[in-house]
This record gives sequence, C-alpha cells and structure tokens, in this order.
Amino acid sequence: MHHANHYYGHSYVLARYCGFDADPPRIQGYLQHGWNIGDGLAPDHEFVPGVPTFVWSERTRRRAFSMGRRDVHVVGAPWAYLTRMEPDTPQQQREGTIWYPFHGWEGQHVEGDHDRLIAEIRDTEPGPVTVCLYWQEYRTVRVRRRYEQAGFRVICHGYRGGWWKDLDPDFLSRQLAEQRRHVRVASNRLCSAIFYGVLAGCEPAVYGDPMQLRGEQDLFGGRSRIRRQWADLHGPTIDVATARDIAADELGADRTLSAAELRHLFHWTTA
Amino acid sequence: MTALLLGGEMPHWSDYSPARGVPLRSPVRGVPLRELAASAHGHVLVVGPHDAELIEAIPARQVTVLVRGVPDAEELAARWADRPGVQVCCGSLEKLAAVPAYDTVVALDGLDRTGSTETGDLPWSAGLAQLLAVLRPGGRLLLSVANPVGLHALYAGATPPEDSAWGPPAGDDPTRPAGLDALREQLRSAGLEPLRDYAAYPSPQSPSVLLSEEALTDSRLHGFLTSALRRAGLPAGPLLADPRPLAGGLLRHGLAVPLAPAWIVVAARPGHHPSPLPDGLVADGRLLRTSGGWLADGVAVAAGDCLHDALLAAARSGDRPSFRALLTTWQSGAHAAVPAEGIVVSPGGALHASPAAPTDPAALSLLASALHDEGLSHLWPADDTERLLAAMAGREEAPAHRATPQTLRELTAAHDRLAQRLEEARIQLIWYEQRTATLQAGLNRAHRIITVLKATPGGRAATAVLAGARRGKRLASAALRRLR
Repeated sequence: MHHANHYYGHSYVLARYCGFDADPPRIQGYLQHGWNIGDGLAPDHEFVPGVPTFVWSERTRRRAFSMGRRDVHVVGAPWAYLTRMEPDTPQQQREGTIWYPFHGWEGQHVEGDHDRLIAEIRDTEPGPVTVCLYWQEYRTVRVRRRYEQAGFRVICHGYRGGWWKDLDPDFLSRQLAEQRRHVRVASNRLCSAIFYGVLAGCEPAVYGDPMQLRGEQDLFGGRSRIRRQWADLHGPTIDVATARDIAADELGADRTLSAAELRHLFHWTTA
Repeated sequence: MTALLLGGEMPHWSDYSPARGVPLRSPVRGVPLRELAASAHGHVLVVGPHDAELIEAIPARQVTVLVRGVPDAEELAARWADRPGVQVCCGSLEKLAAVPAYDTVVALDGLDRTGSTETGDLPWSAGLAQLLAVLRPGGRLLLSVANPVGLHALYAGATPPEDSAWGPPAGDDPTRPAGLDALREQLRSAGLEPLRDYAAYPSPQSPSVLLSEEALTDSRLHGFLTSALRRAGLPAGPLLADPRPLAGGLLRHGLAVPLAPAWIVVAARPGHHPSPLPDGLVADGRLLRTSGGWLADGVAVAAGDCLHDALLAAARSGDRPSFRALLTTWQSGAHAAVPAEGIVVSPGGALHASPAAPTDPAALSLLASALHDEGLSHLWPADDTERLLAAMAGREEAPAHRATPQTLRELTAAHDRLAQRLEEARIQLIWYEQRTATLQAGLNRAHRIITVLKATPGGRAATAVLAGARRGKRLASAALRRLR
C-alpha cells in the first residue's frame, strides 16, 4: 500500500512471521516505521480516508485517536516480532557499546559538533565503541573519518529502501545481530535504535549534544517533551528494568498479535 | 506568565476550542457554576477545563489552574499574564504534586477530562484520592460527577465518537460512584463531610439548573421545579426525544436525582469554616429553604402546578371547560406573553409568573406546538391550532409558523402525521376525481339530449330564432359603432 511499509524490511519481517516465504503481499494500510511522539506516522505522510493505520503501541493509538485518526490498530513493532523469531543465544559474547549518533533522514542535514560528541563518548563509554551511522553520514567521508580516527569501529546497517526500490529484507536482522554483540546501546537522542537495543538485551544510555536538523521544527512538544516525558531513559546510566518496561511499552512488545490475526488485519490471505 | 508543564500534557489538544467542526468540545460553564465557584476561598486549585469567566468568578487571590492541553494552558496563561496570583499548569492530574497546598479544590468539570493520552487512565477513585491529597485540613472540594445513565445520555442521539474517546467510557470504571448516595458515601469514607449536593440539568458541561435532593423531593416545590427543569434547556447534540416533558414525571416519581445528567457535591474536610450554600441555583436565582418556607431570590415560592403541564393535563383528560378556563385566565391576564412553562398556577387558580421567564409574543404558538409535539395531536385539528386556541381564549391570533421539531421522536411523530395527512389528501383527491367523472358523465348525457332535441322541428325553429336574434344584435352593435 504505502512504500514506507517496506522501510528497514519491516513488511518482510511481518510476512515471515505470518508464514510467507517470498516477497510480502501488500499491507492494506499504513505501518508505523519508526518511534515518534505524534500519531505514529511521518509528519509528511499523506493519508487516504478509510485506510487503516497500524501502530506499535497503545499510547500511540490513543494519541492518534485524539488527533482525529480512526481505524488505528495496535500491532506492535516488527522489531518485537523479530526478537521472538530470532531469540538470543546465551553463549553470545557481548562487548562494548553500539552508539547511534542522531541522524537526519533523506534530504535532511544534521548540525552539531561531532568532535565534542566524540569526546563525550570517549569519556563515558567503558569499553570499545561501535559507531553506527545512517547511510547518508556513512557515505560522507568527512564525518565517517572523524569517528574512525577517534578509534571507533564505524558501521552502517544499510539503506532502508524507498519507493519500492533497493528494499532490504534483512536490514533488521543485521541490526539485531549487531546489537546483540554489544553490552550497551547509546545515542544522543532517544530514538527507535535505543528501544530496539533494550529489547535486544543491551543496557541503554542517552547523552551528549542532541544536535539538530537544519530548520528542525519541534512537533508535538519536540525534544524538550521527549526529555521530560521519558526522563528515565536519559543519562549515561539507566535503570535496565525500567528501560525494559518502557521499551516493551513503546514497541508494543506486550501487544504483538498472532499470525492469523495479523494476516486478517493486513488482508493477507494464507499463502 | 508561562504555563508550568507537569508531565502528561498534550501538545496538540484543546478542550476549549471546537475541533474539526465539533461544537461539543468546550470547557464546563454556566451561571450557577460561576456562583458556586464564587464560594471558593484561600488558595484555590481548579482542575480540568473550566470556562475562563468561571475561574475569574473565584474571589481568591491565589488560583492555580490545571488543564491538559498545551494550547489551552498557553491561552489561559496569556489571559492572566498580569495576575500574579494565578498559575496555569499543564499536564495530567496524576502528575500533580500530592502536597496539601490548597484550601479549595474546584473540579466542576469532574475528573473525566483530567487524564491524557500520554498517561494511563486514572480510575475515578484514584483521581479523587489525588484531589484529596492536595486539599488542606479544613479545605473544601467542589466536585462534579457526570452520570453515564443521566437523562442527557439516555436521550442522546447517534454521534461519531469524539477525538477525546481514546480511552474507555466513564461508565466502564467500576470505582466511579453509581449515584448520588454512593458519591456522598465515598466522600464520607475519605474523611469529607458533604455540605451540599446538587442535581445538575440539562447537561454536565453546561448546567443551567442546580437543585439539591431536599428541594427536588419536596412536593411543595413541584410546580416551581417543573417550571425550572422545563426551562433548563436542552443538552447539546442530537437528541432521541425532547426531555422537557419528563420534568414533572421525574419529580413525581423521585427520579430527578438518579437521572440527573450530573451531580455536584460540595464537601469539606473537618474544621472547615461554614458558609451558607443555597438549596438550588435556578434562573430565578438562589433557592433557599427558610423557616417560613421556600424562597427564590428572596421571594416566596408559589405552590401549585406548572401552567404548561396543567394545560396539557386538562387537554389530555378531555376536560375542555377546565382547559378553556385556564387558557382564558392566562391569555386575558398580565402574563399572556409569558410562556406557560414559566408560570405556576396555584390551587386557587392564581397565576405566578417567574420574573426570570422572558416574554415571548409567540407564547400561545409555543403551547400549540406542545399540544402536537407532546402527544396530543390526535385531540386537535391539524391546522391552525394557534387560531383555535386564540378563539377559545377570545382573542384574535395571526397564524404562526410551527417550528420543525429538532428531536428524533417528535420529528418522527410530525413526519407520521404529515404522511397520514398526505395519504388522506390522496384519498380525497381520488374521491374528487371519481365525483368529477360522475358529473362529467351526467353532463355528456345532457349534451346528447340537447343534440337530439335540436334536430326536432321545434328545436330547429328555436335555433333559427336564436340565430336571428344573435345576428340582429351584431348588426345593431356595428351600427352603433359607426354612429360614434
């Protein structure tokens, strides 16, 4: 239905969960593709009346309802399904921190002091650091070099896909495997990757210059609201149990559906 | 002054502005509530969306207001920017510091709009506990509770769910008191003494009439209160039926309290300073019980029946002489322009008009409409009931256009009456057509007889005489024209 349903291979993960081996059928609706503090969809998302929306959490459903959205269903994040389909192996050795500097999305530019951030990471992280850059920053040699020269391992999970092109069914699997190699997950902004990391068994941290996008508008209360409402998830050390509860809540890990129910909601007939 | 964000606030939400063309979303408001708010003292906390004018009626210097929508908080903060004693907070009730800091807590919108999408739904009892936690010893609580099975809800028509319906409806909360008795009991068990309680009509968010249970169960007030409840107005939104005709019945059957759209309780912690509260707040002012009887705004309340109901009862019983006598007394007296629902008729037949009832030149038309809309149309001619009533009262009355009912039951009844009249008109039309056909056949037969008669010698002679006469007339006319 909407090309954003395929971002990060989300539709592929859910199709796998529902028993489809090949490409996922079309989802009859809009699937939330990232954590946000609005109605679950991107601010520029165009809605067609009567098309259902599938959001990750009950809180997002309530918020979307209050914003006039109807036919909103809580299905949980694809990540929540993936962590169940690919359970962690206890013998996995974890080391260091996977660090996600705040990034812009396609066509956006981040403004901030990378050197200062690097210094803060060095001061805070006890072990080796893997910096995961968004594909845009990863391709920008100047930015990538800075992190490499700081002695960090620099990786990129890949391109999330767009407009049904260059789709990456294994994006999330790669991200999950990478996160499970680390003890900690950190970022300078609370974001999907932090919640993902918590569900992947990492200890979370949110600290450092949050940077900003050029011309960034603080919708729905923006950064200050995130800091206030999710204050427990900010800081270099965070209570893990609290973080797990919040992550499960925000990713709808307690709200996942059976394959049959999901197939029904998406109008996916059994293969 | 900027609004203080407590947590749980909703950046996109407003309880004060109609959203997406929905006019129902507005703060709690109304004259009687303003009067109640005026009884607040000390440091006052206002919880939930209250009309700004209502908050301004609070005489206290220190007022803290808690709303959940950021745009609302910012607007209120800007409004009172130059009032140093006013603090506007924004967030959900559960984020309020549980410190006994307030002498009066005003929650006249109830607790239903104190939560947010960002925090869980606080059970009603937990919301009350939160209010009590911030109330000082000797403090006073003004609390409203909407009745999920109130008259306004029972008679509500279908509307699409409001954007505020992100959580379960209030009626699903098992901790919510089911009735005024349960509400008072819950307050008592929390250590409060209920000082006064009111049934609020016609809607929880815009009550125009507040009446204590004591007043509502006193038969001496029957006519006065029927009149007050009838004039309370209608709840907003589409209605299945007009609730006003039920007013008298509710009072007689003791249902005015259980079916009230909301209950408001004023309760205090031990050690409060007593201050008198009226038994009722109605259009006629403050209703007070004294040793000498009931007073409304200082004037003795007239005993008797509401004239509107008395007229309808007489009409229903077929007692046309009584109906005519009441009608004549009303329409020949000083209160002819006061609608019948604003008048109490005493057992002796004297009329007492409410000073607050506005005069209306169409008072008689209102009664005529009521005769049709309140189930008596079968007893009256369908057309020009106003003229008939005027004739009964010995007056000349211009026909008035009868308003289309706005409520479903009355509208359906009006539709059914019109459908019946249309069917009757169609039957009449068929009858007239048949009658015309019969007359046409008779006329044809007469023409045939005339033709036969014209062919007889007598007929031909008569035709020739007539033709000659016509010709002579034409010639004479032509000669006259030439002479002129």
